[in-house]
Amino acid sequence: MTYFLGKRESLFRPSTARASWRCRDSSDGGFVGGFEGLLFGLLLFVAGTLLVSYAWAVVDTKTATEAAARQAAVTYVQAPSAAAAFASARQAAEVALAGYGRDPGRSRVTLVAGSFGRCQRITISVTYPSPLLVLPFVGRIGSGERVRADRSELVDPYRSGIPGTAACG
Amino acid sequence: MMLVPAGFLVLILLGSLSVDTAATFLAQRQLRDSLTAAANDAVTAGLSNQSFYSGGVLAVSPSRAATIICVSVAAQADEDLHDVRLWMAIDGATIRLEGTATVHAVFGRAIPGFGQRTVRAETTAVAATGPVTGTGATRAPPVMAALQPVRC
Repeated sequence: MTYFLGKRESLFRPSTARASWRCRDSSDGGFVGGFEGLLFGLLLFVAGTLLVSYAWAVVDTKTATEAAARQAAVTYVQAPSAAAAFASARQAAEVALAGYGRDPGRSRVTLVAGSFGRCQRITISVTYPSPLLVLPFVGRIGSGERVRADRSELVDPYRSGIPGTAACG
Repeated sequence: MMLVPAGFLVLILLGSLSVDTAATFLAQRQLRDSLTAAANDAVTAGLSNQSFYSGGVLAVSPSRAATIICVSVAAQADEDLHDVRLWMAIDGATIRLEGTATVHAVFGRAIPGFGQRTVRAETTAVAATGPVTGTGATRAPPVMAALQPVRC
């Protein structure tokens, strides 16, 4: 912090014994700095807000994709047939994302492991781009990293509607 | 004048705290989802064939259930959950699963003592041969045996 002192002001007592030091009212001759404090605070506020907002956006997107992946996996293993399994799972994921206020068209739903069959373990992945910023009264701005969530479920070995025998090992 | 950056700093800290709390809540939901999937898998795939074909009784085999639970939890690939510990209790065709996990805070890891948080979840699954009447909220919770640790 910088201090500008007036000509008549001194930080030290006079060295001579006869001179007496006394407090005087501060004059208008000096200017006490500190404007950089405001600048620093503003910079801290902007940078910190951007950081926290981006972290919040990622966590919020992760919450939405987790819910979508969970719904998709559950719907997949409860589907009546293999043909309808993935379509219904995708639809369930999109409905879940829409429930979180997301655009389902920007999501990506994939079956990353397994297939539809008795006692088969399937894993469904849902990815969605995280916004760069989430601002009050403005909403989500920009597009950042894609956030991914995986959920795995086992097709019921004793369910009806699927040929074959249960052999989960 | 220094109160301005100090105030902003406090504001940022509160924002960081909210992000960490949300991340912890998310991890708790992840753990609960993992336990629910594992219990659902274990209560069906873990049914004892011997018990059913000899006496017509639905009963979960503890050893099979433990194996399925471990496979199911590992398959969820929850990278945010660390040091996951599981306990289960089996009573006939009912399985109760509890678990704890630690979560690394997003911003709190920069502060000693605030880097980790522990989350806990529990779930119960029942195998049924027909439609189950009533919801989980209306049914009385089953009386279960003592929880046993699941070693994966």
